[in-house]
Amino acid sequence: MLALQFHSQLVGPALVLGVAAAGLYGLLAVSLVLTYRVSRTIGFVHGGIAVFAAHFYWWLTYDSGIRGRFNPNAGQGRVGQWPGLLLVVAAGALIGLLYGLTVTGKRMGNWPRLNLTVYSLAWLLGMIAVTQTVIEPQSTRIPSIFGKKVYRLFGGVITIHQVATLLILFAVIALLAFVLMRTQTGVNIRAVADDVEASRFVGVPLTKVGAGVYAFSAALSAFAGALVTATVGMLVPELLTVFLRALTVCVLGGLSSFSLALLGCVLLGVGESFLTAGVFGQNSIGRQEVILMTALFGLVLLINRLRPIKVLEVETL
Amino acid sequence: MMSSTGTAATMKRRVAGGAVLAALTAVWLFSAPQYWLFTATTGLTLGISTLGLLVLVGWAREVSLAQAGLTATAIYLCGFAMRSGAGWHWAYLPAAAFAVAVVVVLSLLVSLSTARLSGIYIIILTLALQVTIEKTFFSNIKLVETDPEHTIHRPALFGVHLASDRAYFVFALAVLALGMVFLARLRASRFGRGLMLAGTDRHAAAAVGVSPWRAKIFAFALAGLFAGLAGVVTAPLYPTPPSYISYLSINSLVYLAIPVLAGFRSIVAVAVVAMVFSVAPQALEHYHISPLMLGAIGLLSGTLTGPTGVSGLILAWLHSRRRRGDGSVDLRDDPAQWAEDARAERHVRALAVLEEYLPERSDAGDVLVAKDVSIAFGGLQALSDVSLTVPTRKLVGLIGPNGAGKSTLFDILNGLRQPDRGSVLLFGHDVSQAPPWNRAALGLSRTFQSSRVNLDLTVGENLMAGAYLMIPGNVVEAVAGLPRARAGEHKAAEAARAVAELLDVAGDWDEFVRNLDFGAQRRVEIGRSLLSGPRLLLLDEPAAGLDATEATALFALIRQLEQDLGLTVLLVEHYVKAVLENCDLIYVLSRGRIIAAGSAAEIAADPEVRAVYLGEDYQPREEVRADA
Repeated sequence: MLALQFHSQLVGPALVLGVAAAGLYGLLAVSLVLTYRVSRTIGFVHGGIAVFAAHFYWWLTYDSGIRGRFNPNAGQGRVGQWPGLLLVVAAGALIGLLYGLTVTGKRMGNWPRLNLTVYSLAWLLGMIAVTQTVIEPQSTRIPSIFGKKVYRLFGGVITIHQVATLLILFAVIALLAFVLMRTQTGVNIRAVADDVEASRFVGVPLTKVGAGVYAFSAALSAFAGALVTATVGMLVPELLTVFLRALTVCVLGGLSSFSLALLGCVLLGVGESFLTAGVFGQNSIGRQEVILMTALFGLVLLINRLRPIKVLEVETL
Repeated sequence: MMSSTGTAATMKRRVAGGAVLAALTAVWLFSAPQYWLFTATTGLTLGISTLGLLVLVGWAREVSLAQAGLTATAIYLCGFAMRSGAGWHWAYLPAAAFAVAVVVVLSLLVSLSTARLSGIYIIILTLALQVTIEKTFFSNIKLVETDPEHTIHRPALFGVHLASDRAYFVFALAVLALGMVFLARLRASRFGRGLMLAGTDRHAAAAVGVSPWRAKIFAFALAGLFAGLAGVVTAPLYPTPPSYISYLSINSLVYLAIPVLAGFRSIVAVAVVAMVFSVAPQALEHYHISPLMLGAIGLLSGTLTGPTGVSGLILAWLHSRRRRGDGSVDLRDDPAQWAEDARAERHVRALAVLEEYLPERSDAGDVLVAKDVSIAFGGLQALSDVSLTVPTRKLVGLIGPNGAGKSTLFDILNGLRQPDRGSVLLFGHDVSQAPPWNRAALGLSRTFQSSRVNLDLTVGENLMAGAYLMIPGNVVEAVAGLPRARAGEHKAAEAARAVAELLDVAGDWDEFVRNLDFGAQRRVEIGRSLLSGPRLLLLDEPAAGLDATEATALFALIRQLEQDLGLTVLLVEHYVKAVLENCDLIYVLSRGRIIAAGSAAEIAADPEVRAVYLGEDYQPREEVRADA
């Protein structure tokens, strides 16, 4: 039976922790929403990039490597954490660019959405397979690049890692808002999001815009992948769970809305935090998952119930 | 058309191939080391599970990312029910039945959402199910514990003890073979064809009487059933529950890769690919080829080759080879064989077959009455108080400029859209709120403005897909080939051949529709509608994309169907000359309103129709029939 209690004294700390945890989901959610807007497909590839980034970051900064020019800590990694993070983000952007060039190119540009989604799943699986073959998976958590400092707020303890992640998320959103609303690139991206065919006819460089968006969002995913190593470690199932959480909030937000996705991040983070902290009583991990997933199922169905469907939707694989 | 000798030769080849395969398996079985026997058995169980995904992904075109989790659920539940100690110590068969039932229910839970969701939403829901399974079943220590004192014993079935790896391999092979035969029989039945039609095109399926939602629920149930079967075959394979590491969400992607790579056309290919996925990582251990890597390659290759997968490429190659070698394919070009008199004779025979096949048509009254139908899309009033009557055994035309609302009206008559106001009476029944498949059951069928045929199926398969409502019997009868279903199949096949003859696609019976020209594809779609046994046929721009000769021939055929078979037809068409020449009654729709109704002469003379559609200079031609 599910525990049906309410511990009001836990609400404050759980709320703080939940909002803090939402930052990480938010970074991945922004990536997913960005690529969904230009392709109308779910970018499962971001999950693969995040997993790859986590492993690559570990390999660069934590695995025992030789002393390098940028490595001040011999024996504790091939490069230092900041250069490592930069390299990971650059590698993520490169992978995103390659992926973007293929899916927005002439051959695949007109593929049905479901085919592109399966293609994206193939990349996810491929990146994990390559990563696991080349770099042995570790259960280690890498110390945060931002240090070990903690803050107390309304009875909850949050780390500087969480605060920094939230601040970075806000910065990314501000940057995106500026680019999307004030620049020609933003106009192009919004045009593609509205109508691909119409954009093509008015001369929007589809491949350039699409590949650019994929490169940027993949860089964000890689960044999130590197940061997540400090909180959940490097086990692939755990990393994928974080990705799935981000995907969940995107679905809650209708997949194409940044603001709703971010609101979903906060709601999910808080909900998860409430369940973990036992605000509604102690429930096992399994029960917590069932509650979360039931809420997800319910919300998705509710959203679709509210959305008027005039005709039967048609999807082809 | 493939000759009977060709079919017999194919059968002979298949039997011979099967015999060789069975002999090789037998030789291997008695010579293979234990390790490989065990590995091959895991390949067989993977094959069983992915057969379920073949139905879901290949036929119903829904992607599931929960198959590994569902399989593991059955493994753990069956193992737990069988185990002594903390388990329930049940016999194998009840434990297996329990585990399969739970997995089918879990799969059905997701399927309920297909009423409103599809595509990417289903992917996410199945992924959520997979993660929920991981967090609940995989983290339940009682289910996954490896207590050496309470092991799972391999069962004895029908007096045969399955303790040895060899015996267990044969058991798993038998389950896989039964599953493959079941699916092959299902695919050849109305249920399999209906499922594939619903997967390719929900609208087209609904128009011929297949409920897409029920079809998808059925597909999810089958996916769950096969996952469950794979699980209960796997459970006694190991003395203690296997590690859940092989059944995580990432492994569900590997499962998905198998039918995607194999393609939806071949059941055997799925089993073969599953075996390769199990054996190759072991055989090529030194090359570090993990199942994940194989899965990634499989998914990439599968998406690049399209829904027919690798097996589709092979079958297409064999098909082209057969075409080159089979002289009968080009019979149409042989003047002796296809002389006009013989053709007329075949048409007469085909009409007789169709007359026998179609349900009884009424002789009097109105088959369709739409009254004051209105619908708006946001601020746009697409239809305003449209009333229309279609008398029985008449050819009725609906014309009007682009954007007049003709296709919207068709959607309302057919049930794809619900009107904001107004009613639709079909054969005297108020069907205003009825879904399309219920209207199809009453005798309404339709075609669409854009061609909606399954390009990856043959002409024969596409036509037979339309016969869903005309073949009696339930799934068991269909799969077992019981007399009622078999007779229905036979009758439908005969009618499909007749329709192919009438529509001039008989020579392309075994041809993939993808390889036909657009006109032939349109005719196949009309044929599919005819096979659904309509009493009223709605044709949405049937002549679109046809040249003048083809369009004239098509209208002659439609006229013939109406006159000789008593079929009532309502058609939307921009080919005004053909409409005025052939239709008994014509409605003109403009800006969502009926502005005129009457005979061809009346319509041609109507000043408002001339102003908005025909043009002021329009001259009715002499050939416009006086009685029309």
